[in-house]
Amino acid sequence: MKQLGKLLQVMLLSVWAVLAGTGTGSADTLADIKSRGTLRVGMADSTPSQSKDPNSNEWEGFNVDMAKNLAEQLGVKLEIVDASWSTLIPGLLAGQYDIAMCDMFATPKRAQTVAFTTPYMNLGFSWVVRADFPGEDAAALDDPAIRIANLSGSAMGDIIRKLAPRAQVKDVASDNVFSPHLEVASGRADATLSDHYNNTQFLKRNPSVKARILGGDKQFQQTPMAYAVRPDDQPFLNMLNSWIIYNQTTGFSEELRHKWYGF
Amino acid sequence: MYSIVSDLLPGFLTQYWLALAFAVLTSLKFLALGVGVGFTAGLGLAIAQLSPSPWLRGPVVALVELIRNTPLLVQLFWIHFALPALTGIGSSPERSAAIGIALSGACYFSEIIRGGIQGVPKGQRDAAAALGLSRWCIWSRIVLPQAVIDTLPALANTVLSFFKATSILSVIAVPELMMTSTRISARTGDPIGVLTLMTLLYIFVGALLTLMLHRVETAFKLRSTR
Repeated sequence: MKQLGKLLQVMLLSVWAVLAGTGTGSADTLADIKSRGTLRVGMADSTPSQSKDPNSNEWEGFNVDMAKNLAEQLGVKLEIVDASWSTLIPGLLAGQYDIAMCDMFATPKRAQTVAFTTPYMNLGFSWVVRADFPGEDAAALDDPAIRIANLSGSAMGDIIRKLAPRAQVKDVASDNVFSPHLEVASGRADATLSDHYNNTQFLKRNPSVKARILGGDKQFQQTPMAYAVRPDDQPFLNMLNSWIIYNQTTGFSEELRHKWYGF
Repeated sequence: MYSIVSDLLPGFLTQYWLALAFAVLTSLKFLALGVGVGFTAGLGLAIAQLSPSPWLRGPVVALVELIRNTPLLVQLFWIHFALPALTGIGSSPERSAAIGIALSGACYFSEIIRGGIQGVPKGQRDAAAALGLSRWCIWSRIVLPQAVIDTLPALANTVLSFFKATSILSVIAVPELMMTSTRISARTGDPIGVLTLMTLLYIFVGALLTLMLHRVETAFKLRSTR
């Protein structure tokens, strides 16, 4: 019983250590990276932002190119540490890597546990309409004659009803996220709403369909995506923010976005 | 001919069959580790659990009960995150997985073997001692062989459970069959096809293991009755 009590004590202590982030030792990660000579980046799979090619076992994607650039700027070697989505934040707090570089939305809830950099990209929604839909104004969709396809069970339904309350909503029940797009392409619906990445992917993979994105590349209700570091990491965070803004100014991030996301 | 076959196969299979084969081997590697290290350490722990000394028995029983009464998933999280923070020694997914599955194997096998040892009538040990056999001889030639053979069905069952449990390692990003299949399905956009193939691979390897374990069991039973 005594042993069990001791073991429990050790377990609780270590859990506390992890939560408090004391397992990492020093709080100056930037200095640690420099003296170590390696930047350790935690990644979890999500195509095309960052994923491991099952054949070559190499990481590739938007954030992999960003991480390579970051290591280059710091003048150190890059080491990508494999994580999964459920272990990404615990791994960061436990000091297994210096930064989590994934396609993570920077929400206020998450920001209470980790420190987010300045956003490197925003992802929002966009409308896909029939190719012959007149004009570029989304207000024209709020009309009783307009049929809007919606993937039933998705979060889009509520947004569609809010944005175009007078239009007819056509629920499509399917496992395929692109089935509402097919409704538009086949002329059975006039429009559909989805996240901008899904929309561009659909049009990229099916270049001959009779559909287009309304208003060109216009996204709305954008949510910022940012990298995460440990909350007490101010010097490293300062450096990262300057690096992100620099890359946005030079057009490097935009170039990568075109290469990996196609928009 | 080849083109007909390759047309019938889903695209991901022609592209990723090698990755899938490696993934199956990775699953089997961790199974071998859990069973190999687990069985060897389990023998020692089983004997320690039956020790008359409370200083030896107490901690071992506590460890075995702790491991048996917590899910492998929880243990993996603890080993992968809390243990490095506690010891200051970093860990990789592979290393954490190896520690987790070996520890779990040792505790499960220990419990089974302990039951087997207690099933060997104590009179045999007394008789062997009366004949002047050494302690080593009594355990290695009389008690343990009978204990292991009596518990073979339970041991085989545990091996099969551990094969299935290797899929849990995917949660700390060990590239075994489950993790690799998830990766391929995300890349190809064909989760139904890839996950169906993954299930078939688990069934195939599991059936092969069952057959092998059955053979081992019959061979040992035949030898022991001679």
